[in-house]
Amino acid sequence: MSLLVSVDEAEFTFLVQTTKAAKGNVSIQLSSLQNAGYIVVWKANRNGKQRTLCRITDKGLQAMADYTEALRSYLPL
Amino acid sequence: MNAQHSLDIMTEMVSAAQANHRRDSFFYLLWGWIVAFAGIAEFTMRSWNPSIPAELVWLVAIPAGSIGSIIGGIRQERNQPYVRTSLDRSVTHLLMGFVGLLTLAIAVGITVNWNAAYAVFIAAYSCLTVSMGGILRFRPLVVGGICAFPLSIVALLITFPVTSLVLSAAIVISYVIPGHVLRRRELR
Repeated sequence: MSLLVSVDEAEFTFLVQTTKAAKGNVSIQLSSLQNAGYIVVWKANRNGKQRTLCRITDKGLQAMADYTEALRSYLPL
Repeated sequence: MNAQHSLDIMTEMVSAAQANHRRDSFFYLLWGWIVAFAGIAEFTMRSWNPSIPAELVWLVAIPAGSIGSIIGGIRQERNQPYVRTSLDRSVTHLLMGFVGLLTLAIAVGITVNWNAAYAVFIAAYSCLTVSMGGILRFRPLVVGGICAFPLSIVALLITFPVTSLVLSAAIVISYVIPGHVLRRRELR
């Protein structure tokens, strides 16, 4: 979510490379976030390659804002 | 993922977005050299024999640059995973504005005169490089754009075929030199 907040949209491979997590792990995370309505996932053909792209939704952005606000109240920052 | 990891990713994202555009030296050099050579060729042809339709140089240069850009863009995208940041969005909108100004330059050339059109073209190029340099925090582009801008006024004060040489000089200052600096940084 932190990654998707900072970009407009990103490819699945980019998320895997940046988080250094396993593909299956990232895939499960994305499914959960999609089911919660926090992100949208779609497939697109770019330069002859089928790619999985994701983007954060307004609901996801709000949830992230609430989460960071909650963290701020717990942590002595 | 803890707070520190999130912060690391955010920092990495900012660097990645900037590095993404710092790999763009290919496009600066491609367009810079094509326009510079086309300007010199136009000057040479007009000086040598004014009856030659020297403007045809642009009918070769612009499609050549466009094809080169498309091929370069596809290659670059194939080598790295796709990600679109707000920085990319800013650059896209800036380039759209630049294309609009190029259209205006051509319209000025047809309706007023080509000296004025080249002046608009140099001014548009300069503004583009200053803005791109500002967005990407790359000083050579900003300096190149600022140094090239006065040449748009010079273009209004002189006549053809010297205007073509002024255009070439402006492109070398605003695009080719910063492009080579960028290239050197990429190779480090």
